[in-house]
Amino acid sequence: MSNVDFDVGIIGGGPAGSATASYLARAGLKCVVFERELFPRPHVGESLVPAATRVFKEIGFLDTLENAGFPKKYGAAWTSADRAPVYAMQFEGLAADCHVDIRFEEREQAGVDRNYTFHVDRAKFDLMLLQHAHQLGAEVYEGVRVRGVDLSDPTQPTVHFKLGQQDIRTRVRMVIDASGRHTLLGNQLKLKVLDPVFNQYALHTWFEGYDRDRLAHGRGQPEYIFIHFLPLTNTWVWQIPISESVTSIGVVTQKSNFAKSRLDREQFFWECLQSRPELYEGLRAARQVMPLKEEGDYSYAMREICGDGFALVGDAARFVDPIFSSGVSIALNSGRLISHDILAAAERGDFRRDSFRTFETLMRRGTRNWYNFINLYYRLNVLFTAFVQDPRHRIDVLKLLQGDMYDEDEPAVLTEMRRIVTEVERNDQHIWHKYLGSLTSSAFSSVL
Amino acid sequence: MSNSPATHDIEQALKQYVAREILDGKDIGLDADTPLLEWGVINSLEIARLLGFVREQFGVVVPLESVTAEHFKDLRALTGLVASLKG
Repeated sequence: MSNVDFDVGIIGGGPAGSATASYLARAGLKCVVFERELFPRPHVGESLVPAATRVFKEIGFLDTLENAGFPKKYGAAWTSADRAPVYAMQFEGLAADCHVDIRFEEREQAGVDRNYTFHVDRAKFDLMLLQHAHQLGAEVYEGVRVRGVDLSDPTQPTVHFKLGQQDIRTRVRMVIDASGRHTLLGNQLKLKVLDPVFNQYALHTWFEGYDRDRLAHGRGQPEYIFIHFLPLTNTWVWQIPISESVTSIGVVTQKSNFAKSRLDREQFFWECLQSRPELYEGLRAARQVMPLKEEGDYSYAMREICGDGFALVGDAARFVDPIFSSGVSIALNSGRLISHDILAAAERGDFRRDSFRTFETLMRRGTRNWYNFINLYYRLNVLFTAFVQDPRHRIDVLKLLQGDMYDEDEPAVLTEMRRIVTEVERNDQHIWHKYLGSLTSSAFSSVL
Repeated sequence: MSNSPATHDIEQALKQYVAREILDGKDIGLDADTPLLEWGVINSLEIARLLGFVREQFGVVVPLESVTAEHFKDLRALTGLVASLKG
């Protein structure tokens, strides 16, 4: 220890970095977090899944979170206005929305003792979590931009950053890249592989005074997350409660849809929403409280997620698509898994790649299952809906939606979904054939 | 088979379901030959609900690969499918 400044250097103070720092600091390791921004700062990804609860409990953050007043999330609902034109014409006045929903409490989840999770204002949430890591003993540097990591001696990585005009080097025993979509180490080590299949794009903002009850149609779920399907291929809208009066709205579409429209961002956003009049009118009646933000260059994986003296966690390791609100949960759980391996490695004094094998196996498995689930979902939305409504599959799908995807190589429900998708692809007489999304079946061979 | 009492009951139950749940009680002169798909009476999502009804009402599981135009084009075809699955 004498020749290093810290045991572990963590690049990034978002949920992945803060969770990792919390686990390590409370176990007595000396860690430092380098955060390039000054918190609080806004961030996309505002809805959690219950698998996050386990991490909050283990790092002693759950009470703080409970007392913060974030909206509780008891479940998820999907709506669509899918009507064949003939039908719409001949039988006007019928209810336009199809609706399915699911409550988390329908399935018991190991390590999770409550039937809800939260929607969070990430500015506030990320600050709280970073402060928590600090209180547990992690050193936190905010407003510090890491320039790179010297891994030429993997037993003693050196983190380079600038403080004012000064170049500073910090020696550590191991580096964690939690830099999010900046993917600092992934870029530096050229590990990044862009996903050739998913090229989604998001436009999002917050609205004040949007009437969430109205769209819930008296089902009493204004605090669910709502996923509204739009008629445009692979396009949907998230509706996430941020507070009593504020709602986050995001349009997710294929980048090509946006490009083809030749509209500016503002016009495109509203034109998409217009295909769902109820939603559109509700939002027009509300007040947009910040400019539209965009997220592009969406999906990527890394050839390696760990090596001698380093590991990647959260979005720095992989990003797929936000459809199931998985991002923060994966970030937190990757922090949980890597911390477990790091503590064992510290005991042995060996931070070489082999020490992180458990992390690597479980993360690869978990993200592969997410990836396949998301692919199947985009390929044939209606199949997901059918499975949710089918008592034989509902609980297995819910398990995935809760974020429990690390314990099986491939959940049987995914195998079954894929079997049916293949059948529907093969048979053009199948009623769902024309509903196949534009993602091709090659999407099923995950990038890595 | 098309005239057996059991088949008749199946057809009536399916007809009532479609009239009540999908057409919201609207009278479109629904009968055994009404082209459900051509007219867009049932859409992709409603098929999922209809399968749930068939499962609960008749205790048979329609394999998802059998959700084809041939079997869902009208109530007569659908009745035939359910009857054959009931065996």
